[in-house]
Amino acid sequence: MKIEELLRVLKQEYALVIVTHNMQQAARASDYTGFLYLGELIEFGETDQIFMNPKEKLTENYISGHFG
Amino acid sequence: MRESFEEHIKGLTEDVVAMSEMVANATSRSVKALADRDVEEAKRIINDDLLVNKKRWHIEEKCINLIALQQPVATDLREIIAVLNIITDLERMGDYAEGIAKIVILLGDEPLVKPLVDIPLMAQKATDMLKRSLDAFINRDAKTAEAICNEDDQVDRLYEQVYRELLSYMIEDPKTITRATYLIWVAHNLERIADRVTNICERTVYLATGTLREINVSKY
Repeated sequence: MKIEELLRVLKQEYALVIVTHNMQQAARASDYTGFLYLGELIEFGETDQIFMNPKEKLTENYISGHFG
Repeated sequence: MRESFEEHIKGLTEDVVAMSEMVANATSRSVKALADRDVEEAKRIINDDLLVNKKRWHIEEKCINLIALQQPVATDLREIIAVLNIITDLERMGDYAEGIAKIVILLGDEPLVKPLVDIPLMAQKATDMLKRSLDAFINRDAKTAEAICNEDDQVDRLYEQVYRELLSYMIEDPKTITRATYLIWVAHNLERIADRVTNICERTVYLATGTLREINVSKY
């Protein structure tokens, strides 16, 4: 949580990229989310959209725990 | 993990369907009790509404547990949010049916102002819309859900007809005012039930597309 707070301060001046498998953290800490699968970028969009209404079935299946 | 979650979601959908059947049943029974002037049946309907309320709390608790324990996202989350909203509408529809039963008791042995023609039609149309709205919800069929919303206009037209007719009775013979007003309340409750069906349809559109929007704004 402390690190995420720091990220929030830093993002005002820097573009930050976090690579994580922790879905809750991605949803909580980011403005935009990209879903990479086997080296390929499957979907990229605003974090709200990715977690509420993803366009790609593969993204939906991953974030809702169908695989991975 | 995923399998268990899907079992829970399936159970939730079954519960919502069961609750909608209870409400549709209460609506049909209340109008039949009005036609039959059956005060005892009306009392039973009022009592049975407690079961509808109980079902609503039971489903809501299941939803809260699923959110807390499974952290659903995307379609899973939209489905749970849709269920939470649908059960609120169903509970209120149950209250409208209960309201009709209370009017049956208020009317007691007093003769009806006029034979019931449009009121049973309204009940039939509203319960039919309700049943199909649940099918659309289960099948995540946004197109059918939108079409059902538009059918609400038919119930509105029947309501207008009942309202106009009963007004003319009251103008003609002021002694009918109380009894005619009761029937207008019944028609109004049925009109509200159909309106709540459109809310359910809006939730199906939300579940299927992720978009929250009003589809058919009722005249009343």
